[in-house]
Amino acid sequence: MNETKYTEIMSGIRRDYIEEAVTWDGSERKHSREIRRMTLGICGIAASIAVVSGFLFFSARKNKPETRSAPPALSESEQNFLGGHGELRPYLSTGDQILLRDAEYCYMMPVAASDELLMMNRWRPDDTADGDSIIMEAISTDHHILSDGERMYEAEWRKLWLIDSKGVLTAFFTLTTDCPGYNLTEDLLMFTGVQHLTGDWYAIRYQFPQEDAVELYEVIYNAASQEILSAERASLWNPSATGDGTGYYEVDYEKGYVCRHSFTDRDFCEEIYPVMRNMSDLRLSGDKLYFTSNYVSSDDMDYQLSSSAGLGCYCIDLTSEDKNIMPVGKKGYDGPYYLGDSVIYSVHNGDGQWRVCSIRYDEPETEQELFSVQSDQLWNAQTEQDAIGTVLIFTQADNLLIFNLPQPAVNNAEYVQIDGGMQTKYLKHAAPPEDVMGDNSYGYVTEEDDILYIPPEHTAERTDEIQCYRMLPYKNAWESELDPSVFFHFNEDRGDAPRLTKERAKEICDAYGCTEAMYALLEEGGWDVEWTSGILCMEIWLDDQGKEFILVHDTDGISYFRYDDEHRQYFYERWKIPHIYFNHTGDTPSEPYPFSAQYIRTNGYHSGVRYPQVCIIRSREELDDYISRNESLYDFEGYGSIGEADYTPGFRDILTNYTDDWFETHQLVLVLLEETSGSVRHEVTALTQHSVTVKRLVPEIGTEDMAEWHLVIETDKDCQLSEQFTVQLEASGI
Amino acid sequence: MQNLTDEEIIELYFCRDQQALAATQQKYGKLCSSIAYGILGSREDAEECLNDSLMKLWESIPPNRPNRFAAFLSVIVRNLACNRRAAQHAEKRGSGVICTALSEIENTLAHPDTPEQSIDTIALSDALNRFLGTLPKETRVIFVLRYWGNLSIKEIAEKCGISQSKTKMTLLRTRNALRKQLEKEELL
Repeated sequence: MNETKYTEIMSGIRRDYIEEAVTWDGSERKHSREIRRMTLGICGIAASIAVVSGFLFFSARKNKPETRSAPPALSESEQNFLGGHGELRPYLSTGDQILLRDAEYCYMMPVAASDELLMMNRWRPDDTADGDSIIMEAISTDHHILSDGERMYEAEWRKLWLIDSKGVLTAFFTLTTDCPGYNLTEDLLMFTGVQHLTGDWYAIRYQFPQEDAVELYEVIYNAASQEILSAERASLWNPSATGDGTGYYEVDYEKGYVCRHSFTDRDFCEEIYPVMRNMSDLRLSGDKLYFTSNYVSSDDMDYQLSSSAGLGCYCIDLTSEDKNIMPVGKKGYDGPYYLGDSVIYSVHNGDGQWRVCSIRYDEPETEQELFSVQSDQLWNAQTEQDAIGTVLIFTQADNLLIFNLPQPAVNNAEYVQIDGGMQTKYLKHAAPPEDVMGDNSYGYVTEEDDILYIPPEHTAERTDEIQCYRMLPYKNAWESELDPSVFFHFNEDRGDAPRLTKERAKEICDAYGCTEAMYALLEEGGWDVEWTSGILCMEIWLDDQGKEFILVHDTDGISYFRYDDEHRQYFYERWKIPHIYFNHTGDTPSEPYPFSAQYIRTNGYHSGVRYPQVCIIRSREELDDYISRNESLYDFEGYGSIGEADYTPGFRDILTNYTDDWFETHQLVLVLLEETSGSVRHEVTALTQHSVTVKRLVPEIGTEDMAEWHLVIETDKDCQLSEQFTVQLEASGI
Repeated sequence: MQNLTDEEIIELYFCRDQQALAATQQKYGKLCSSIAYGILGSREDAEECLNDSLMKLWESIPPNRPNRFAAFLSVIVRNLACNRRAAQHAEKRGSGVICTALSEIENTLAHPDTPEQSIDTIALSDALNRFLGTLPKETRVIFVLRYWGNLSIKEIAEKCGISQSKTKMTLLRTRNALRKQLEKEELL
């Protein structure tokens, strides 16, 4: 094709698409939920640094900056962006995790960049169903959340956004070209922390790999003026604002001093106190430096402690003239210590007893025992020794104290939760189901795990109208030996791709498992592949004709490669399969259901909201609840004037039809859509157990207004609708 | 000069205030330069093209009052750049991102053996618009910036705030989906 023809074809592209493209602002794009793949080396190093250094304990609120304006809080019945209800409140820990709480759940997630970034633990803190244990769910999240203990932030490459409980994003910080690492790709650059210093001043941490290590950097930033005061290598311990709010303290390794900086003079740096060799666990808080030491001696200091006195906690007032070292907490404590803002936590392991205690700084002689257990009740003899000296992470969230156990206990407990009444609960994940691998099976599937069970007769599953059988166990890439540094790319020009026969696939699967089978597939055919986005998992399937095809799960969805006999190679078939559902009973999917649909325009543009959304309503009460949750977000009155082409009745107008009696024999499927033009219309074409299909009728010339629609779809009560019900959109020109 | 809205800029044109040109240059100069450079492959030619485009804009507003100012300007830039390129290179392929973009997509739009004269550009444009309407916004933006705007991968990635690898993969998948669509409509 010559350039002239090409230019002519492209010149015919619609003006509104051109306008959309040329005015596109990537800084305001919605999160398309791209899972970030991190190099495994970064994960381990970052985690260990964060755990060793982290004394970000929840503390009293600092002076609030004048620029802050809090959005209205969610009520307890309103859903937040994590799927729970009510306002999300963040809490920091002594280590590398944050905890969020709403009216329903606690959510705990790591801060450090790793594959675990995308998994969080969730539990109901008031759950009493299981005696002294609470089952935690491990759920995936699309959100890389950070917190300064007061607000939540969402990190995305070079940007930080404030995120409220509804998931609405507000720009907060953008890394500039002056900052080290700016030119790195989003796979390498990662925000790891936000700390509110005082007023509008924040410390923002980010990291990126450098040769064999990870470099930590810290930006001192004013959120009101967007001034970056400094962007330099970070110390392991967080800075602290001075008591008068004019600057901040920070440990300067190169100088070997605690230094004082000024917010108004970027060149000002005063060496305040030397960091001595026998100081450990340094923590700055206000004008005070806390540390632990088992030996303090200095000709310049009044206070001396001999080495026989054991580990102690000490404090220095950096504003005092004499800078005496003052003891805090109980003397001669064995430790290890975990220094909080007003409390020291300590762990003791001896005489068969494992104890966690706390001491208040202002009441050093009063030790409170928080938790005590006979060691052999939680751990067997092999693990007991490992429990000594292992770093714990304490998180205090209102009336709850949560800390991890140094090793998972014999009852599978991983964490301990202590409430205000000193009631203790063990937090644990549900035990995995019994492994049913055998000669004729290929894994198992549960609600929690992604391992799939295929019974000997095979479970018939459908994807895109193809009957097929899953051949190999499905495993997440980070659970396998998949090397994340190897990327796979479909090469269309390859003329001699490998082919895996059914028998050979079974042989490999039985002998090695999924990952090895994938490597064998590649090696046997010498398939040279390169994938330019994050690959999560690859599955090899057979269809009912016995032909294999490959599903590759990556960051954008599921790609589908079918083997073509004629060309003897895999062809890239579809880049995204709308949905794949699993029917564990082996029943074939149901036939289309009868339905009727109304199309109601309900304008209400909000950034950060994802569409389409679907909600199944089975009672008048549920409908009323839906209305109350959404009536402030969308216009439920009528649109346009009666008789006009654009007229639709209001959502409220049609609600009177849906009475309690109506819901005795019917149910509603509500689909919420957004279009970039009010001229787009819709037509529901199919309703099945698993999905509703909506055709978008897109005219060639349309208005340039955003439009939100509620599709109100009625169907019979006895039509079974799946818990994973989805919306499929198809487009068609009018 | 602070960033004006498109409506404010158009008003300056109507008032015959030459600040309109400065405002246009400030807001859209970089993008238009990229579009022109992508087609012409030369910084000097691109700059001349941009100057010509601003003159043409000055001449056409008024009487035109475009609803979509950015698209109106971009189309002018692109058309002038294509005309300039055609005058310089006739039917031969020269430099510029347009060559790379064309080589990426030509087999998607037409079978390699299809004679040039039989390519129905209008039908393909219509089908292309229908296809673009089915895409998520960001995917559509990436496609249009590449194959209409002839921006480089790096420029698109920066504009959209995404990685270059994601840009490339998005384009690959979209081209393949477009090919399937055109085959389904028997236009290929």
